[in-house]
Amino acid sequence: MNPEKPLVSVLTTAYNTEKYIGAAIESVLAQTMPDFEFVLRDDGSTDSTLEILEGYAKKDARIKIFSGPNTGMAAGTNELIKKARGTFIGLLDSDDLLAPTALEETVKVFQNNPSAGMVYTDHYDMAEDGTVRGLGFRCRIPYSKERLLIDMMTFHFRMFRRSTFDIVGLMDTSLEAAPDYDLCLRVSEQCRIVHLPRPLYCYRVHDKSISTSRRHEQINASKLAVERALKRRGLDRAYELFVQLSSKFTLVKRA
Amino acid sequence: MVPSSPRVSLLTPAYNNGVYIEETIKTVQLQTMEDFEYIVRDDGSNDNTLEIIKKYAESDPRIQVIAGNHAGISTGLNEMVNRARGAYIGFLDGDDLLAPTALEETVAAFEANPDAGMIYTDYLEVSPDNNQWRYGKRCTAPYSPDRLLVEMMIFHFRMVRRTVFDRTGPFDPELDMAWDYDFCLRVSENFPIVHLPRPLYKYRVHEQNASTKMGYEQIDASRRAVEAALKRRGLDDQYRLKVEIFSKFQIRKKKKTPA
Repeated sequence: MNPEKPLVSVLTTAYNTEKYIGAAIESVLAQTMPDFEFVLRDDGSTDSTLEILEGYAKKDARIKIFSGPNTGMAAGTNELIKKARGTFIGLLDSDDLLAPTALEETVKVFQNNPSAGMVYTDHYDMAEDGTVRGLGFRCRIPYSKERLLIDMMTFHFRMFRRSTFDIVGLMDTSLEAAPDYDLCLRVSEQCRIVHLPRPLYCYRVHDKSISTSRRHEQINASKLAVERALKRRGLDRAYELFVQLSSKFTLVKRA
Repeated sequence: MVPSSPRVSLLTPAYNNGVYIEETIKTVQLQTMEDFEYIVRDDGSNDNTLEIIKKYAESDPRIQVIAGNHAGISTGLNEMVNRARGAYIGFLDGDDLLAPTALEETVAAFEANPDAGMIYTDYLEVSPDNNQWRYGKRCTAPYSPDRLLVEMMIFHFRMVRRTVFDRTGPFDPELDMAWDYDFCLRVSENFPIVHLPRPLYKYRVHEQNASTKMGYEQIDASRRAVEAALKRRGLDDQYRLKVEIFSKFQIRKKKKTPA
């Protein structure tokens, strides 16, 4: 293992996640495959997130931390990708968890598929308190480059060959509400994407529903990402995207 | 009929309905119950909607035309309600169709339910050319004032007793995108609402892909209507409304437009 040239870079941007970031970091430190660097960026948090990061960085030399003003997930991740030195780059959200063998198993898939530009795994949905609820719905949808135009099934855990970013570019910061969808669409057009059907990631589903206006931004950004993909693929002359919205209203007893 | 006070006032807010409004008006003229007035307000259309309405009004004294400026649906409806003289007020959209017995059967339901403030029926969804239809599903959820807080099952055809407005007040222009939801919530807090499970209305379903903006604004206006209802009902201390929005993406072949 050469600490200057780790096999994997795990990247995390963190914004006000003091409640969960410790567990996220522990899940990386517990990896069975030790040849990694873990690069985190505090995105201008106003809580104790940065202090927690600093505490862990003192204890483990593989952890590198950066901090800066609040720029959002896409810009922060781009900054981290530029700093990463690993052959493979994995993305972990600051409130989620990796399974202990996540890096080991995913890297193995890359080694068995030399032409793959990205590997994604299955994931478990997890309640706010960490209780695992079961396999997420997205990863049950079979992957194809075409189906990706209507269903975002390439969900966490995602790992990229470093060179993939040289081919497709970084995350589009103008699509802050759906930068990962846009990135996956671009990757799917240039590289082979391989699905590893193993639940190696726990995705935390928060009870507090996001505001309806934020959700609207997300859907609009996803729509824009797909429309751009249709254009890049030369499909926009014959096909168009229809987006239908529906809603579910629930009354929740106040605590 | 008696021109001074008809039994029913039927109201249609019309905006750029030039393609469909003729068919709409004809289904009104074919009603088996003839004691009605039909008020159509053009909301400043930039197509030929107003011309068509005027043409029909010339030969049918039951039809009254209001040539309005573009004021939005609630403001337009309030203007029509103020003019309406019927004991019952029914609502018909400018591109939809009534079954021939719609007025007769709905009025009979009011007579059988003297306390009812509103009657609503079942409906059919029809294709733009009115050649294909299926049974509408929104009205299948059983009505209750509580359930109405999370689900809008009160769809077309809707008729209210004229006097409900004395208790509910007018339509709220702030909630144009969910005017009917807001109004039904207010009616449900003051009067019994009765469901007449008969398909007396044809609701035209258009293929639209303008933007997700309209869909979102409708959901958001509905959210505000329900939150206001929770407050009026004194439930907002105990309950909060959770709104989830889902999207469905479809790639469709573009229709060939004639060159």
